[in-house]
Amino acid sequence: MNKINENSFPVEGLAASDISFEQLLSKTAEEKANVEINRVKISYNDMPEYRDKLNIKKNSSRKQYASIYFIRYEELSPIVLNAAKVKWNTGASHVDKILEVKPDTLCYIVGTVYMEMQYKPNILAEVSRDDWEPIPPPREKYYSDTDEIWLEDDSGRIKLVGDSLKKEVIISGIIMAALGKENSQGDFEILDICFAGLPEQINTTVRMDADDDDKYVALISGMNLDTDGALETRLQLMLEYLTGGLGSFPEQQNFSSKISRIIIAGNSLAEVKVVPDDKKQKKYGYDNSSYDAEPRIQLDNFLEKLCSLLPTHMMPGNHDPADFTLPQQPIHPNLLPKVGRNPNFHGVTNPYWCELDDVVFLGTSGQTIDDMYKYIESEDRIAIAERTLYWRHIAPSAPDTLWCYPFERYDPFIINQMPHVYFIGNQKEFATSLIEGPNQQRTRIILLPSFSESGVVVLLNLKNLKCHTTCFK
Amino acid sequence: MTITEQLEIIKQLVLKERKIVTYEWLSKYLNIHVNEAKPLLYKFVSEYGSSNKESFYTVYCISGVSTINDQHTVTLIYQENLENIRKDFSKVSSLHVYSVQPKCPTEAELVKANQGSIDKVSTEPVLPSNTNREVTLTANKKESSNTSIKPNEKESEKVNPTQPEISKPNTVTIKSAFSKEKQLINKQNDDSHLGKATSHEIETSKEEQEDRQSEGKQFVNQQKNDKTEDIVPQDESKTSNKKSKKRKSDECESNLDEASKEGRVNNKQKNDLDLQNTTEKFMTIMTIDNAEKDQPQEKQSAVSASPDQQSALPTKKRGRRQTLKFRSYVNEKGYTVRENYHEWESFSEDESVLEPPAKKSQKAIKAQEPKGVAKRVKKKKGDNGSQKSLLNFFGKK
Repeated sequence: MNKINENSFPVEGLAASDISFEQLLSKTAEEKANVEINRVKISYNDMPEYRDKLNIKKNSSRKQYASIYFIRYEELSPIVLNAAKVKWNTGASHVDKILEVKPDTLCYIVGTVYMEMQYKPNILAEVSRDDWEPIPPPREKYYSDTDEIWLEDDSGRIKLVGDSLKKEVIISGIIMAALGKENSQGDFEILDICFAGLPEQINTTVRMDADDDDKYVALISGMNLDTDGALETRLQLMLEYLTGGLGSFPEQQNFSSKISRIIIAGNSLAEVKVVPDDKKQKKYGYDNSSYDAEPRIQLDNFLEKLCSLLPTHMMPGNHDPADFTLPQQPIHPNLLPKVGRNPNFHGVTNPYWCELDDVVFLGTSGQTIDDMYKYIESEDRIAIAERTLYWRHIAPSAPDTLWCYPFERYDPFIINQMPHVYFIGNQKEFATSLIEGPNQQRTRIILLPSFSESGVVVLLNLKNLKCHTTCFK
Repeated sequence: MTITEQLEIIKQLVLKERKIVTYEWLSKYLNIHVNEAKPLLYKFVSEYGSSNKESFYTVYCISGVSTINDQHTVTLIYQENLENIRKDFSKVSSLHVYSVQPKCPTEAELVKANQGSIDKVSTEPVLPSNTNREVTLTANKKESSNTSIKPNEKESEKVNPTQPEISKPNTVTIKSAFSKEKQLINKQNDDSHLGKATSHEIETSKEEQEDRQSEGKQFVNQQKNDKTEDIVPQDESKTSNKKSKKRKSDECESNLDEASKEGRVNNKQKNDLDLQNTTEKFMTIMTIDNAEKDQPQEKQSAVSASPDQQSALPTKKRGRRQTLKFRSYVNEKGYTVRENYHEWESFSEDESVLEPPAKKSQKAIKAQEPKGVAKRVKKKKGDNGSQKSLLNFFGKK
């Protein structure tokens, strides 16, 4: 689990101290200048089995959220049970219903975790709060020492205690198996816990052949185009680099032309901040004169240039004009008139599953990890991302603290297939790690930094799942 | 086009016209591969940099592995930092000239310099052609996007960038409103404009035709209008060309200079005609451009039309259109009624000219409408269309 920036720059660079700039600048490359460099092509499969689950067709919010928990439990608990049996079958027995746990007997139980936290936003507290009290500011973390962890199944719930809990990352909504025994106070003392484990991966040995050309997929998030209307130079540089204008011929041939797609993981538009203007007459309700279409038009122009030369997949983020609840639907093509109907442009959901050249990608725009980050004490975001794979669920804190749509028949966030690449957008900084599972599963986890802050674009080599970052200044 | 010619063009663009010439823009302008544009710019920098008293500023682009965090970095460097940048990069994978401009540019200007060349396509109207021209234009030649080259071929290699000697005071001033970016070349339009103007030439001089990108442009059937277009004296167009928002002002100028001799001969006959219609002037300017360009027609250009040519060209509008007008009258009950009605009227304007007045007229119309509506219908109780908040009810404080 190394978190070092694995930078593998394939273009042979010359040491800066050695070369003469004159030589570089005047390289006419006469013999090569007229050679057309073609961009590599890769196949795209948008994985309809996931896409259909994530695309909400009938938008009805009149359902209860209990269903999603029930489905989650139904689907994941057999898997967790099997894993638990493998782990603990010697010596401990499984108790079907939590209510039937007998004191002082070593056993293991399976259920959904619920965390009782005093700082977690609580709808009952909000409703019962008196009107004159100011709204408490949103906290960065819900974690506190008084948190309680409960395990629930369809029969009842029981409180979990024990020191081993502190070592683990536990979030509301995960399906977990706990080994221990009930103590005199009615709490379940934990000795060990077990999760669903990494799912199976299809095509595990897919990317091992060395004779193929390098093919890269660019991942970027957080462009945050703003109302001042100025397209920054770095965005312009990035556009030129990816579309093949920038760079000398060797770099273009060996690197830029190998970039086959770009996935934009959310937050292409900046968060809208309404500046209160005292001179303006106050309007009750929504003041639509405060809307500035400039960033969206900028984005449209930018994407138009990008899409003409590079297939683009754009996911919505929490700043973008898309649903607030997960799974966010694709940004409506009419919002981006120039590029919306362009066949090279794919507006996709958040979270997003796709398959590029047999490499399965799973990505979110960051809301899932950001929400889970509030539950735990540590700052390690990549650990959270890894845990989600072990829990087999992208967003276990939905719908508790993360808004999501009340699904009735299925839970679209369950990971039942191990992706090859798991990327999360709009994080603080770039981080990556490679997970290897017991059945030869390999997953590259990538945390994408926000481009507006760092200027970093991540280029993933499909051949060997290595990451390369390019910074535009 | 030889390298020398291209260098001359760059010199013209940077020094005389004070443009920001990026490699990307230049590649579209000259219709060359970007990888040729970059060393070309560098050649320009090295040849003219030290010797010329007129100076310019260069921005480079470097890509390599930085020493700070071992990270592949792509960045722009200003010319004074070129040597210092060595210590920031452990490996350099590419380094080339990004742009050349008369003075140190701001970031916003650099970005715009590239953007402008792309936006231009949609905003520039295409000169309407008259039927004569259609008939005469046969060859589907790709016109050199850099029209200044034509004059070069015609006369000498030297591009004479002086202003047109003849400058009429009554040149259209609308052009001055347009931003520099719009002057960036859209060769497409150039060609189309040229083609249209050429018709005039063709009628008179029977020069060879060149097909100017007629991509389904409107061919308005106004022979009359065309005739009036012909009228513009070349000189006038020269100066107005400068301010023409239709890019290619540079080429216009150079064209004008070079081809002026020939052009003027042809156009003198037209000079006698009377120019009154200022709205036509715009078109005439375009036509003059074309007239100029007409001269170096045979010159085959390495610079073919840019790929943008395929994109939609703005067309010079002519014809009848339905406009919204309003009138007021007293109806049988004694009420003054103001109403809006649609009427067909003929117009011939470029889009560029059309837009500002159109906007103004739209605004005027909209301002009138609520009034008209209010008067027409007896006022509803309490219906005051302008009340914006509850407090207005209490009167001004």
